[in-house]
Amino acid sequence: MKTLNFSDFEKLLEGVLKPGRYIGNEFGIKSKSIENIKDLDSKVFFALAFPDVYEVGMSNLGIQILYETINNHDDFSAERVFSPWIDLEANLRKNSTRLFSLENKIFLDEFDIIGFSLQHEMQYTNVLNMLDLAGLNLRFRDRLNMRKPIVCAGGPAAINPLPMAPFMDFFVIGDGEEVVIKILEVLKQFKLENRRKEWFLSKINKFDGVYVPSDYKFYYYDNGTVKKIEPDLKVKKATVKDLDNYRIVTSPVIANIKPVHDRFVCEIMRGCFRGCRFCQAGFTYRPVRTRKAENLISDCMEGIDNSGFDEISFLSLSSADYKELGFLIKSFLDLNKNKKISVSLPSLRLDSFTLSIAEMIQSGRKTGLTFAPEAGTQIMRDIINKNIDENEMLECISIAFEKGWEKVKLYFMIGLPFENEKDIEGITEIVQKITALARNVLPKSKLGRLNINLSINAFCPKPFTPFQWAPQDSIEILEGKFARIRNNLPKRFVKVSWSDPKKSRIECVLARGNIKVADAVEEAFKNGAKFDNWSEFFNYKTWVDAFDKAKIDINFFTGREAGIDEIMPWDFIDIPVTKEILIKEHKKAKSIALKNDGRH
Amino acid sequence: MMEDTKIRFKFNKIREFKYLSHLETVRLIKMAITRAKINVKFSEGFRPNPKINFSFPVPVGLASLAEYSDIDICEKLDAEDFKNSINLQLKEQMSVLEAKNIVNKVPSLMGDIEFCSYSFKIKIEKKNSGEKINNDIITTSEFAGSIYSLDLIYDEIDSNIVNLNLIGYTKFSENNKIFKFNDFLKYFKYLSNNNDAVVEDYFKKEAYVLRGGMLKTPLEIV
Repeated sequence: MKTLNFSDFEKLLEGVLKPGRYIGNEFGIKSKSIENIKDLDSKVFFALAFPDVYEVGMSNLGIQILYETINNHDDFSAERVFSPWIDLEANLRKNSTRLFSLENKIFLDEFDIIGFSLQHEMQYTNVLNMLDLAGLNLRFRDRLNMRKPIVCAGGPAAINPLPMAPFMDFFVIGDGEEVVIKILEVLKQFKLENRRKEWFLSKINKFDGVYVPSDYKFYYYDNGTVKKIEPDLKVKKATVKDLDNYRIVTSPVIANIKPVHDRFVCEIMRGCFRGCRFCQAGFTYRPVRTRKAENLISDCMEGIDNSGFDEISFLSLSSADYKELGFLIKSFLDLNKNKKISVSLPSLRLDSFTLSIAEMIQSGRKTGLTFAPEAGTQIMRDIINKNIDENEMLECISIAFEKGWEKVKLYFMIGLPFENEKDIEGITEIVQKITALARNVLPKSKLGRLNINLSINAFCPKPFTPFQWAPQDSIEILEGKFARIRNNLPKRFVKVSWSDPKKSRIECVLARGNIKVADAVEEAFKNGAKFDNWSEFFNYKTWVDAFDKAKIDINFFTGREAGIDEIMPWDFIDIPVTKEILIKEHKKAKSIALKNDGRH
Repeated sequence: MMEDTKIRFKFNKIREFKYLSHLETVRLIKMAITRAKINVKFSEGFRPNPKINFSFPVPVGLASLAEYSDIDICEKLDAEDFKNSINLQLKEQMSVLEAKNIVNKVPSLMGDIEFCSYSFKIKIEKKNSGEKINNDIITTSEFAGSIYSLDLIYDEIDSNIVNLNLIGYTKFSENNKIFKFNDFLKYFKYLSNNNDAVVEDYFKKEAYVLRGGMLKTPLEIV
């Protein structure tokens, strides 16, 4: 296996801003050391590729889970590789050096398999950049004569794999930790018995979660909608049945430089009961599976001991719905009384009950409370099935003010289906009500410190949700709605941030794209698109030009309302919430809208 | 009564670990101390911080054999035990080389260290290149005022290999300037190049404090 030697590695780091991103050898690495392996052919080498920088990727739980799962196996070795920042990329290209893994500095194209973790659509161009930096052809059809590496992808943004399908030999849809080992067993056999790539793919496509793009053909009507998907076989999402059979990662790799989330992560629950109609994760991570608090407490203690973190995050899509949350946190805090460990709950839905939990974890310094009403009126919240009652929320905020909180963060979306003027006005009204409340409750001396952070996001309709057929508002309409909100907000106490609607539009076309959209992704990459989630890199024109060149109408995927009976490009994936359920939910939303002020 | 311990330790930062910045290094050492279950003292106040103080940052990319740190511990702990337990939590490329219990009060590392020594290895083509380079540095270069001493040592086996041992000032005074490593390195590479010599290696070798006119290492004085 060819590796990068240390002196060439040092030359590559000349002038690089954060060389610590590339050095590897972290505390907790588990991949096999290649010097100690007598017969390299007896092992399978897996490159876990994350299409963003080190600090982002090292905060990702999926990477840590797969890294541990694969490396726990004697015959498999997983090494990590992240997107190089532009300075290292320039040096790699200047020196014609291929991208390499962190652990053994193995060149990426030397691995048996490369697996990309796709967290969101705006990482797609980084995937292509990494393949290019590995010296590989981008399309699987142009890699047919190569036995290795086999290239695959998984993760939340692989749920509609089509815009990336021409680049991948296969995808893993759903939970990766179980199926990855089954796949690697087959890969080991493929390697030992010197089998053909087709043999490997035809073996693994029987597994739940595996989608092999070369297996499927798409036929279209003249208007661009899907006529037929062949064969009429569904790819069933891979689902881990019992999370308690999979321990949380208790000895994570400790990043050498501070990751964006510098803390121990404990996944308490996968999936969400709520069924908010805009939320893709709420549908695609079903069914809800929980871990027993009793097991988690000892595993967390072990994890904190192994890692040395001073913060723990209890992760799920909606932690307030985890029945044992109070018990878990109280037990954990009691056991760690003498240590300086803080607790964070990134998805805590606040009400009078969970406020006591928030109090428990913010006992010293009150950092702030987060509410996500998502919409400005009760009708709109009913339409999207966001079960938050305004009065309850205001009461909760009022109690919070009394208890000493001064910082509130609010999340809203605009451009939701069936939205009207009142919903937009409703957002500013809620903010006004909160400032009025603060004036009543907070003493004058504290009022000056009141801080309301308002975050407004453009709605992006996603596959596998009851709104998957809905049109997205145009950039102009979204900008108009945002301007109205901004102009009507109280000037004092309130800070507002808002997502770029141009980016939301590209996110939408990539999320709902068919396989042809891959041409535009490739064009965009060739025109220099990368790190599209970083506002300093995202260039709307690059994308518009790429779609033009690929002769694809963005609006067909973003601005058009699809017919309920239309075949959606991703219909061959079984998540397994059925399309009938999505249609039922869609109709419910519509009937609420129709019943109230005659929304269309 | 609870007994406290103060320990001064010396650690290296070589190979890939020389690419970590000061803040990145501090974060990793603190996490290793937590993992080693060393009962470190915390500062009082709103945001308590562990009481660990470090010597002056070494530039990113410069390997070092002599980084220093002082730590306050809430219990009785032998320096050798400290060293052994923390090294189980560190990689050998960045690990504790030596540790001593601080018995009598010593000034802080940041304030006390006055000199750092550096070692440069060059390969020369022509005889006397070493002397020429040595002379240029201490007579004509802008760095002369920041250098305390410079020694030239020929390799015993290969006479084309010359080592320069440089001791630079880390503190400003009326009589000297502060030795700026990165600026010097740029000049030194340029100078070597002009004298048909190639810089092959360099690293930070030691840090010194002044006691009675003598250079002592921070561990010698505890």
